[in-house]
Amino acid sequence: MSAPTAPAPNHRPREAALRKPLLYLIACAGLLVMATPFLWMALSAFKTKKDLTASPPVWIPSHWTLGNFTELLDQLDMPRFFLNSLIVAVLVTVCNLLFCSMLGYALAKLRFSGRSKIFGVVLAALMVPGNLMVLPLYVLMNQMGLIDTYAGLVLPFAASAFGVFLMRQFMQGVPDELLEAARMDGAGEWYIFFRIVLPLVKPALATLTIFTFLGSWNNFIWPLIATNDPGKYTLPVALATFANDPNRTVAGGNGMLMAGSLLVVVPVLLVFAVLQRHFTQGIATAGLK
Amino acid sequence: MNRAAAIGSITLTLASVLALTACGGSGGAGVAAGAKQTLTVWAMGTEGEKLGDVAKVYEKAHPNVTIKVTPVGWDVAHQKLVAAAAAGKLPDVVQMGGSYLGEFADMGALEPVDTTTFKQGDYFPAAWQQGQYDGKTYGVPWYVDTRVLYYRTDLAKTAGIAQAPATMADLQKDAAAYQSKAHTKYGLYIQSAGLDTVQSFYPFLYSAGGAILDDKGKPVVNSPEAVKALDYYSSYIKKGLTQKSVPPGYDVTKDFNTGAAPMFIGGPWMSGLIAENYPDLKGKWAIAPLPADTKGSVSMAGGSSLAISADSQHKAAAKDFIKYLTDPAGQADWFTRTNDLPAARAAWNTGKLSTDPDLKIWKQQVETSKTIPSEPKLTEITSKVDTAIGAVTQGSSSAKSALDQAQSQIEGLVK
Amino acid sequence: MSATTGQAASDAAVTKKRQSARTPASRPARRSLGRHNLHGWLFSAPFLVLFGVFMLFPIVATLLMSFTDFGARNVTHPGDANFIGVDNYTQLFQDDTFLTALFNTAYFVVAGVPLTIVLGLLVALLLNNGIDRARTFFRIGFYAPVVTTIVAVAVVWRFVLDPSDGLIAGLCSALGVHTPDLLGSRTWAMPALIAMAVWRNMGTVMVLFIAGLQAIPTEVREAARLDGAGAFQELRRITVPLLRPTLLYATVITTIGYLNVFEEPFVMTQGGPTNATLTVSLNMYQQGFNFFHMGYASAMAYVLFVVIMGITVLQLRLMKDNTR
Repeated sequence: MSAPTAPAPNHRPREAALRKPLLYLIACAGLLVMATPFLWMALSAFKTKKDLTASPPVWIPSHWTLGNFTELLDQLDMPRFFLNSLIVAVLVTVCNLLFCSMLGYALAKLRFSGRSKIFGVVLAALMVPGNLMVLPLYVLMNQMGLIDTYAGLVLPFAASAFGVFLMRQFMQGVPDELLEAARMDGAGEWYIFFRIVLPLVKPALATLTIFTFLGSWNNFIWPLIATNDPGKYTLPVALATFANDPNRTVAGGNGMLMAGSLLVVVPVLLVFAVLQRHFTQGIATAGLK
Repeated sequence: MNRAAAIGSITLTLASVLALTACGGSGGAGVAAGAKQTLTVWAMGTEGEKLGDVAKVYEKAHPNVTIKVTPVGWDVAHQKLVAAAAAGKLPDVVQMGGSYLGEFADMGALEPVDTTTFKQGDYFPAAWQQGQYDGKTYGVPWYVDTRVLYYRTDLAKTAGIAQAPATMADLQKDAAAYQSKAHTKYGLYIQSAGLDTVQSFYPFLYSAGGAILDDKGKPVVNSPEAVKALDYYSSYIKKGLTQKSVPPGYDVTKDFNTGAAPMFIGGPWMSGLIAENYPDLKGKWAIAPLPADTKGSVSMAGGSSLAISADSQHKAAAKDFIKYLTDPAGQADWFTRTNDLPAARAAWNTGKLSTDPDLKIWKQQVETSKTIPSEPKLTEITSKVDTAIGAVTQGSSSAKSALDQAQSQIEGLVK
Repeated sequence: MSATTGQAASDAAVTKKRQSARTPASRPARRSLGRHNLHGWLFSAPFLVLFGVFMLFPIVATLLMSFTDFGARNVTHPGDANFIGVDNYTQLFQDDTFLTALFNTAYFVVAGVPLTIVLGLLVALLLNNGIDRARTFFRIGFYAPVVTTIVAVAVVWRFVLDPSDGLIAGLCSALGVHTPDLLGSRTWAMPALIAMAVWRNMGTVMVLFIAGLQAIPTEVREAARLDGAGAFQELRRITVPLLRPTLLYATVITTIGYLNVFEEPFVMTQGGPTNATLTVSLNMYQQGFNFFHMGYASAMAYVLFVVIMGITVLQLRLMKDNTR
C-alpha cells in the first residue's frame, strides 16, 4: 500500500464491485459505534443545563451555548494548564522517541553481552503494577527537590518500557544485510542508527509519538500528587479539582467537565490526525531493494 | 555474600531515605503570627474553589500573610494527603473530612487544637465531635452537613398525603401511597448497595437508637436496635418502594424531577442543585425534618474541620486564619458564598440564617444529629457495614446474621 | 527485503542462524562483537539510568513493604513497620475476596484479549486495505474512544447500559425483548465491562496493526494474489505471519493492560454487584488507598506481577519471539 490513493490491482472486478460498498457499510457502522461517546461529549459541551439534565437524554442541544467554556475559562486558568500539559507532553515524547528507539535498536540489532538481561529488565518494568509505586516515588522525588517542577513531571516517564518493547519489535523488521553493508562501508553505529534505521521505522516512531503524547497528556495520578502549586497543574489535574464534587454531580454529565474534556481531547486528536499519515511512509516505500 | 551485601545496602538506603522524610520534625512553633510569611492551605471541592476569595479578603487585613490555596478534588484528596504526609509535606492548614481526621491524627500528622481559643460550646456537638480523636481535639469545625427529607408536594396531593411524614411508619405508608395513587415508579429513594450505602442508612440507624460504634468507640453494630433499623431499611427494597440496584453515577435529583423518586433523604447542597438545574420544579417540592423513630428524629452529621499540620512552621498564623474562618462573622460570610451550613451556633443569629424557614429545619436537624467517633480505620469499618446492608437488601442474608458478621469484623479494626 | 521478511515470517530463527553463518568469519566478527558490546551499552544507558533512578527505588520499596504490616501510621514512621515475613502472602491465598478478584481478572483477560486483538486486526485491515477513500476520517473515528476521557466514557456507557431508559434497554424493548439490569446483575456486569474495555482499547491495537501492515511489501501481497490466493488465504498465509512481531507486541501489552484492569470497574461498578466485577487492581487500590493496608496491597501487587510475568513469558515462548 505504498500510495494510499492508488487503486488496488483489480483481479476480480465483479467481486470487488460488490465488496467495496459492503466494506464501506461495515466501516460506517463501526464508526457509529466507536465515535458515539465522543460525539456525546462534544455535543454536551455546548448544551445548556436544561438539556444536560433532561430525561430522556437530549442528543442535539436545543440551544447551542458557549456558556460552559466561558465558565470554565473564568474559573480555571486554562491557558496556563494547557501550556503546562504541552510542555510536559512534548518533553516526555521527545525523550521517549530518542531513548526508546536507542535501546530498541540495541536490543533488536546489536549482539552485545548484556542484551538478554536488559531485555529482561525492560519486560519486568512493563509488568510492575504501577499504582502502588506512587507513594515511594513521591518520597524520593521530594528528597530530590523535584516536587512542583517540570523535571519532576517529565523524568519518571522519560523512557518507558512499553516504548522500548515497541521499537524493538519494529526494528526487528529492518534487514540485517542493510546494516552489515553500511558497516562494511565504514559507517559508525550512530550514523547507522540515525540515518538508516530511524528513517526505516517511521510508522513505529509515529505510533510511539501518538501513544506517548496521549499517555502524558492524559496522565493524572502522578501530576496530581507531584504538584501542589496550582501554577504547575496539568489539564487533567485542574479539571479533577471539581470532577467528583457532589455539589456538581449531575447525571447527564457536567457541562463544564464536558467542555474541559473536549479541550483536553482535541490536541491529541490533532496529533493523531497529523501523524497517522506517516503510517503510510513505511519500509515498503523506502526503496530498499 | 555479595548479594547479601547488596540487599543490606539497599535496605539501609531505603530506611535512611524514609527516616529522613519522617524526621521533618514538629520543630517548635516556628514563625510568629505577625512575621511576613506564606501560609499554604488545601481545601476540597467547592470549598477549595471558594476559599481563594476569602483568602484575598484576609490578606488585605493581614498584609504580612500571603495565603496560597490549593484546591483538591474530593475523589483524589485522600491519596494526595497520604503522599504529602509521607513526605512531611502537608500544608499548614488542611481541610479534614470527617472520615480522614482519625487516620491523620493517629499518624501524628496533625497539631492538637488550642481549646482555649476554640471553645467546644460555640459549635454544634456533632460538629465538634468530628474534630476529636482519642480524647484530644485536632480539628476546628468549619461547616456541618446533615440529612433531611425531600418530598414532592404536588405528587403528595395526588397521593392524598396532607403533610410530610412525621414517623418512620408514616414514611413507608406515604411511600406506598405515592406509588399506588400518584403512580410514581418508586416511593422513596434510599441507596440499596455499594460504596457508602452506610451514609444513606445512618438516619434510620440513629433514629432507631442504634450506632456502629458507641460513644466510647466500642462496636455495637449488631444491637437489637440496629437489626431492627436494617430490617426496616431493607423492607423498602423488598416491597419495591426503592430500586434494588443503583446505576453508577446515579443522580437522585433527576428522578426527583421526573417523579420516579418522589421522596429522598438528602443533604443541604441538593436544594441548590434542584433549584439551579430544575427551575420548573419550583413550588412543587419541600423539605421536612427526618421522620422520627423510637429515639426521635436523629440524622447523621457530616461536614469538615480545619486542622493545622504538625510540621507547620506557621502555626500561629495558621491558628489566626482558622479563627477568622470559624468565628461567627466568618461563618456567616462563608454561608453566603457556599451555602455550607455554619458549624458555629452564633452564626445562625444573623441574616437569612435566622429567618429562612427551610434553614430552621436544617438547624433543628443539625442540633440533634449524630456522628460516628473518629477512628483511624473508619473507612474500612464503614465498608463492612456497606457490605452487610448490601447482603440484606439483595436478599442473601438476614439482618441479624449480616450485622453479626460486620460486628466481628469491626471488632478486629478498632483499637 | 521481501526475501528476508518472508523467511522471517516462516522461521526467523533459521534466517538468523544462516545470516550469522554468512557473516565473514574470525577477525571482522570479533571486532564487530566488541563494537556491538560498547554500543549496546551506550544505546542502553539512558533508559537504564532513568530506570535505576526513578523505578528501582519504588519497586524495591514496595517489595520490602510487602513483607511488613505497613499501615497508615507508618506513613509518618516507616521505621515502626513490623517485619512479618510472608504472612501477607499466605493471608492473600486465604482471602476469598482476593481469590474472587483473581478469578474475575482471569475472566476479563481470557474473554477480552482475543476479542480486542481480533477486532483490532480486522478493523486495521478494513481501514488499511479494505477502503481507500476518507481513510483519515475513519481512522480518527475509530481512534476516538482511546482519546475520550474516562469521565465522558463513563457518562455515555451509563446511558447505554441504563436499565430503564438506556440505549440497550430501548433497543430491546423495541424488539419486544426484556433486558436484564446489566450492571446490577452478577452474570451480566462482567460481560458489559469487557465490551466496554474492548471498545476502549481496540483503537490502540488498530494503530499498531496499521503501522505493522505498512511494513508488508506490496509485492508479496500482489504475488499471492497472482497465485490465486483468496482474501482469507492471504490473511492467514501472508498477513498474519508477516505481522508476527506486531501481533506479539499487541497481544503482550493488551494482556498486561487487561491484567491490570482498573478504570472500567472503578467508574462503572466499584467492583459490584457483590464483588462480581472486583478485579485485582481494584482490590489492591481499595486495600492500599482506601483502607491503607500498604503491606498487604504490596503483596497483592507482587502476586499480580508474578502472574503477569508468567503469562508474558509463556506468550513470548508460544509466539516464538525471534531474537532471544
